[in-house]
Amino acid sequence: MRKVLHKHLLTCIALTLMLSLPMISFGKETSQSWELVNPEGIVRVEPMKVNLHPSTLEGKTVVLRWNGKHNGDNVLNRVAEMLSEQVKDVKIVKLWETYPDTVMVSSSQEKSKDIAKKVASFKPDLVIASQTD
Amino acid sequence: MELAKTTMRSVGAPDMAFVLVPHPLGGIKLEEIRAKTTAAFPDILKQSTQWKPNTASVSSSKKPYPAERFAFKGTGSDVTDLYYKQKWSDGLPIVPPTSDRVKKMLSGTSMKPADVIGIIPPRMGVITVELAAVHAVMAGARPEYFPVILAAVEAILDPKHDWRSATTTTNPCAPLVVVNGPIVKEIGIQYGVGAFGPGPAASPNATIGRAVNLIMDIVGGSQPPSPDKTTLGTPMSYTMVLGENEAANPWQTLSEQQGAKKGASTVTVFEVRSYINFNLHEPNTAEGLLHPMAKTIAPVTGLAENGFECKEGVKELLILSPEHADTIKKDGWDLGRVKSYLHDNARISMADFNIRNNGRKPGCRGNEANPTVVKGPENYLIMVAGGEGKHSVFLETTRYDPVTKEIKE
Repeated sequence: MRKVLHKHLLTCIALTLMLSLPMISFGKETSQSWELVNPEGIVRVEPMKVNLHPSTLEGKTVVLRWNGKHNGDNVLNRVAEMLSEQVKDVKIVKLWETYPDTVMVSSSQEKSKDIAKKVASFKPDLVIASQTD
Repeated sequence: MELAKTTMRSVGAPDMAFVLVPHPLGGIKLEEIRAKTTAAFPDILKQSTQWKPNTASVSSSKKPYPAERFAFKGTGSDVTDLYYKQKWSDGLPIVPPTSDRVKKMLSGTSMKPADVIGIIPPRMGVITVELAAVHAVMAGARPEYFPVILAAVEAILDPKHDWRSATTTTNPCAPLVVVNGPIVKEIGIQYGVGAFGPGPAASPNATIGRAVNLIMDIVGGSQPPSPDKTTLGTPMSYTMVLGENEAANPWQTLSEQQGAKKGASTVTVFEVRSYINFNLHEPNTAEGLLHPMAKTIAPVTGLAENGFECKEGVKELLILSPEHADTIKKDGWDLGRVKSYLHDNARISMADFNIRNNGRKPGCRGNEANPTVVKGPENYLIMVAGGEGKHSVFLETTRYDPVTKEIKE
């Protein structure tokens, strides 16, 4: 009988310890004052001036630029059709037909400059580009 | 649309004329594309002739160093919550980046805190050594890991790696950092058993990768849903770091293949898409191992992914287990023969490719019935890692070139 009581007592002590452990481990955190650092950092870009658009496309040159993304050429082909139908004397240049090497998403400033140079060679009044997926 | 606007701001233009054609345009029929374009055309015409540029400035007048400090009162959990709310987070709890902890992290490098490592697109955030230390603290890294983190960020920002595209595409890319040289053992980078798996507390593999991703995403300002447009994302974006098991490599190490000096401590960064395990217990010859590898690499690269390209093509990474490397070496094969075999045997059927590509012919090699999936043997990079066992791994990378940089102590 005494042996059984002893066993029950040990069980109770073990249970009490087990139940109190989470309270010991996950007790209330202490509030404190911190000096923290903002991880975002600042932005540095060179400001770029963007030209005004022409007030009409009649008699103007429009360059269409496709970067190779899925069906962007099909979108621009339709834009070309509708411009030709609806705008008098508009001149349309599909850049990818003259310069197939521009069919790319530029991966560097050098490539971007090369594409811009090829676009500029047509002296466009407006450039329409597609970004599709 | 937000991605397009972010991109414009990142090149210095506060705004540009945009017309939104409802997504998707890829993978739909031509008549649907034409109908969507027709519906958008009045707006295209309007934006072409009536849009006026915004003259606001997009640049910050603040200096990048020192980083902004601020006082905060609360518990450690409150700090994590604050950083969650500010989107200064990868969703996991952080170590609060206090000034003292940042100072301690900076003791791990001889570089000056004000040194600028680069500008991170698409946000064009300026990453200084000090700011990198802030992220290293948040990730739980130790000061001795810090030089690896700095080298990895420098490598990712190399123009050949094209981080802007990698971080904004719908394709789920994740940076992989491979470490070579004495530093692997010096700081305890895992390269043997379970090298890619979770490590012990503050493991370099876990915390270096986490720090790199925090830097690129928070300073670079690229988190889903925009401007990071990754369709599903990838769990590899939390961390993907391992060392090469150089003692088990019978050939040139990865960094040597990339042009680094023998014995140099380096990082090589990749952008990884697919992860394929080769469970090959039966083969006991070089060809027995490399044949199923080549036959798997081909459709993964050329049909599942868009690795079949006309230009230089992607670099593909094969991580051989020590036992597989040993079997191949004992058959008398050198590294050049391994690469040539993979190149010659990893081919796709042009008929399959044409179905995948909706009948649109590739710009070159369209007349080949079974073209090799990448341009040449040099497109394959081979390294050795892992412990005992018969499992090797193929990592399908993207057109963003792998870049190797020496680690500056």
